[in-house]
Amino acid sequence: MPFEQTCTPAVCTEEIVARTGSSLDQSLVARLRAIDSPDSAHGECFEPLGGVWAESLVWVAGSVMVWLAAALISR
Amino acid sequence: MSSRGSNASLQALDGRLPVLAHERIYGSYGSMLWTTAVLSAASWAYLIGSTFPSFGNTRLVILGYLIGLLIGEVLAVFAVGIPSFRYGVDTVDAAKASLGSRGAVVLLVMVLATSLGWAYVLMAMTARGVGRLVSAAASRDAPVDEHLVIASALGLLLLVWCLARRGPAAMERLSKICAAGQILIALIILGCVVSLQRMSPPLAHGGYPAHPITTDPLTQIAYGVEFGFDNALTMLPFLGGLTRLVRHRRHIVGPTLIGSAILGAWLVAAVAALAAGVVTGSDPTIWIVELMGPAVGSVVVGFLLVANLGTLVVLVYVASVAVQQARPVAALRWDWIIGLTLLPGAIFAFRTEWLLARVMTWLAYNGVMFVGLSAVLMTDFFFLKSQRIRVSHLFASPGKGIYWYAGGVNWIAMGAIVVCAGIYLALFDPISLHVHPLFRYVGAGIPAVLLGSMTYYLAMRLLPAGPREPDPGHSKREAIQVGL
Repeated sequence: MPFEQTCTPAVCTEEIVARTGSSLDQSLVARLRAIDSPDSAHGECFEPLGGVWAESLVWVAGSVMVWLAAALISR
Repeated sequence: MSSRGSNASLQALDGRLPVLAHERIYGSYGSMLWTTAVLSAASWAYLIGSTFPSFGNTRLVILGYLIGLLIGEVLAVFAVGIPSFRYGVDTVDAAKASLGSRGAVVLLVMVLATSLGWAYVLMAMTARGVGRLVSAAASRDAPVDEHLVIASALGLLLLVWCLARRGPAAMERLSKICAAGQILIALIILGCVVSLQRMSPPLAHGGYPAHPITTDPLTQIAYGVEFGFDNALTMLPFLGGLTRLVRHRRHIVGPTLIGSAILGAWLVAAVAALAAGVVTGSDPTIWIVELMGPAVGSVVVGFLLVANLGTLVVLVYVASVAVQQARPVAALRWDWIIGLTLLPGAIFAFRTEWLLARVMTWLAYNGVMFVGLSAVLMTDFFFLKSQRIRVSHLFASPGKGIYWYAGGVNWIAMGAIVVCAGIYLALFDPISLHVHPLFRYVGAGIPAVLLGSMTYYLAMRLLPAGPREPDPGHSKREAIQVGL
């Protein structure tokens, strides 16, 4: 599955404001803005999954093949 | 980490605030591997494994169990692990994008029920194990001292509170020690079992029961696959809470599968299944002593019980983050929140035997609960939202935001979860173990997830679920109010 450029955090067009003046809500706003900012410090978290797909596919395909082999041998 | 107001990073790690990349504490392959291993290698894994011989060919069930674990863990990683890794949010917060701001309460209840259910079960197992060890030291046939069991359970809760209040960094260090201990013990027991099997033949019928549940090899493998798949999905409530602490994406899939599936759940269950051929009973605190002798066996069981501490701390950490969905709780100090999640355990400490009998049965339905959720969460994030969540909308005021759907609930997702549960139960009853003829080829959980995913995808495409996401290219700047 392609991870398109639109997945980057820079797409947000809204202004994030805190519901209350509590320190938790203020901290939440600061973090959400950091995640949404175009030069987000979130870094690798927003990059394409790449190798994660390949690694997962190997594990699942390998497991299914072992299942099939075991089923064929044990019959 | 005693004060909520100490600094924002600590607040985020202990609470629901999104964790930014530079704050994440799981920066190596091993840190995630050991934490997931400690979650899966606890004493209950021995109980699961000891049931395998009753299904017929133990080796086929063990193999099927590994296959199911690996497939299920990959599903869990994609359903909750990746969204939480991307945005640094807890499982329940990430699930609001697909279940709705209020619909995510369904997952919250399951997270709390599963994490605390298993935590209290483990507490009861450990406390009764301590009681049994002490009684056996006095006299081989002495009954377990219930007062000692209660005192052990309460002492254990206090110890867990002391460790969990130190936060996830301490949890990560403790996990390494406890997981290594649990795996080492499993390998020592495996060595004993193998040497015993060489010296003397296994118990009656070549290690197999006289009347197995099935004699069909395909069904035996399918049972193993199903138990593995269902067990892997019990990671669903925990995985998001852990991957939000992971810094690099290469440390998500491999460490989770090797740690949780192979070294944790599979190794321990396989050892218990093989041991069942040379010892009697399912309780590891009894058969380990029988296998290794009173002196060495008691020491090994003692280490095993201590190693359960790591699992308990991770379970309590996940529950303590999740429980902060209640706004008044989120405002409390971290050590008060830990105390709050442990409080029901203090009541169950007086009813450990009842807890083990009742809650274990209820937890057998974990598979039913999580197949639908995993199908919906994965399909929604990858196929409907193209891996993109408007994270600020997860924290929007009630009635606001694009994840409010209808009355705060995505009813299509709820319908798909029910459909999944129906398909699963039609193929497999986890209590009676009765199966549909198709079960021998595909199990129950895997077809339920596939059919449930297709149902959810089509329904979301064809039916109106609620407000649609605005076009990313639109220029109007809107204000959104957020809060915890």
